[in-house]
Amino acid sequence: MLSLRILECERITKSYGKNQVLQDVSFSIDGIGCVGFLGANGAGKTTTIRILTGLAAPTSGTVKVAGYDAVKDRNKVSREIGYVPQIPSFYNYMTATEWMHWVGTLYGLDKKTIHERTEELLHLCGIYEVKDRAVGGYSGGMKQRLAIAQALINQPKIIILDEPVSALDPMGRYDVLLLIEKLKQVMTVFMSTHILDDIERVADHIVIIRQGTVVLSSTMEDLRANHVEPVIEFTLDHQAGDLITMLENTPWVTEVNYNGGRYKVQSSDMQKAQAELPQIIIQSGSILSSYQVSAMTLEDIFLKVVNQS
Amino acid sequence: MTALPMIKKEFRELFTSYKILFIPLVFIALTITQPITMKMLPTLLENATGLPEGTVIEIPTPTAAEVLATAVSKFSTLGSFILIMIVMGSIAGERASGVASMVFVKPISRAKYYLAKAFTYYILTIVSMLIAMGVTAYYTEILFGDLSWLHVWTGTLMYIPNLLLVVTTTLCASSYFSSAVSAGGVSLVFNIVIFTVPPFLGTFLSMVSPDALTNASMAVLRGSALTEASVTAAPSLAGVFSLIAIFFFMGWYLLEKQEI
Repeated sequence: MLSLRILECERITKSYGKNQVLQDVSFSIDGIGCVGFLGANGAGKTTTIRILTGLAAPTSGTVKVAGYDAVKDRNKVSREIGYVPQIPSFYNYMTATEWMHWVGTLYGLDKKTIHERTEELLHLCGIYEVKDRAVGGYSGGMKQRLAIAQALINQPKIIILDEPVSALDPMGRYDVLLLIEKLKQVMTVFMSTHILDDIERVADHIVIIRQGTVVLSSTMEDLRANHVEPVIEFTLDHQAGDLITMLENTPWVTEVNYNGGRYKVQSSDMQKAQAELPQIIIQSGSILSSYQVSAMTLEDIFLKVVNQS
Repeated sequence: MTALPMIKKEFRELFTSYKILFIPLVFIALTITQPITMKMLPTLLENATGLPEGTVIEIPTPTAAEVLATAVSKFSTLGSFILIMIVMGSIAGERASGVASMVFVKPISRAKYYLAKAFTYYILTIVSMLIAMGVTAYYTEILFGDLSWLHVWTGTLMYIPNLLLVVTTTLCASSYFSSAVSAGGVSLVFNIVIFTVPPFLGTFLSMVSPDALTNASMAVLRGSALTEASVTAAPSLAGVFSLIAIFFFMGWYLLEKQEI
């Protein structure tokens, strides 16, 4: 990781009338790598991205992208970023090649560079074979790939992707994540999503937003060190009594989750928990089917952080 | 970065959407009906049924210049409406479809984007109007006799600012509303008001109004002395160009402040 401060949001707020969408959003990202911007639907992810890209202005607070103010230096910021919206739109009569060439001219690139970059990026994004077809006839996945290709034509320092895989089929999703893994070696990839598996796979840094407020900003390394606690998972063949209440009243139990027939128990004293939990289950009259100690997944951390805040 | 790539794109769009062909043809259809109607009118009335026996209607044959002057008045109603329909979605439509957000994150300022749109539609309007009036004048000459072509072009050029005002106000509305229909509706109401109300609001407003420019243009087409007509038209030209400037900058400002 380099030490260049690529993104800096300081106390951003955004209101539409009385509706406050963002409240004191602050986070900063240094260097290259992939940033996973996580949040439930309506948490404020797209609004934050619109502010980062200069498409909207914050009500208060400052945003710096690659050292430039996103409001005052909108034009300079646009030279440093590539942006892929959730649902990309194009001039439908243009072909992919024509769109790439047109975007290249907006960046002031010369014809030779535009041609070379177009060929390279359309190959990289897997739409070279359809490059001479009008974009109006493209599927959602093809448009998404073209949106990524065109966002890279200026070799940006940061590429901002708003839910890049939500409209893709499993193969398309796999390809895009593979591409993100390549891109994050040479630039900052800022990717919003609510798909936790994708974040777990590609992100080096995670920012979690909840109801317009950042509740966590951490590198994945720190996150694993600070938040990942062991968790006991078990399933039952037969349940008797109110096991959840029993567990919740046990002093060393910090959290109990029950989802889809699977119990997850977090504890302040894992040794004690491992020794006593099976006895509690048996005392309740229940019959154990499976029992294992595992690490918390990102989903567990996400739920924990979101529920705590 | 210049606005050139944006202007080129806009012109290409005129071709791909056939507006470059369609607008001059519609304008021609609009104006050329005037000499045809005027020529056919006596025959139509003669053949009209239901008139009492012995009815005599005498219609003096109009001069070619008079026919052409009335043709230009078609632009105050149907011509303006067509222009509004064409321009109303130019910005609003791109915002609604999401393509504006793809464009505005690129290093092209909103000012240049706006300028490119305005420039393209101004050129389309001017060229369409000149073609339509040229064709109509030629046809009027065939049907009604000679015309002074100096008066034809002067009168036509004199009327063009009114059409540019329609384009500008619609573009201004289009940069504010994200729905093309809302933009078109607001522009339509505004243009009806600005073209019809000022003559009733006192001498000064009447002199500087778009309606006064229409009258001046028609007077030139009828064959009035050019010097005299220029003096009459000067206040209204100033008024219309001022309105164009005001709405041009207002549209630009609104787009700059707009969240995409």
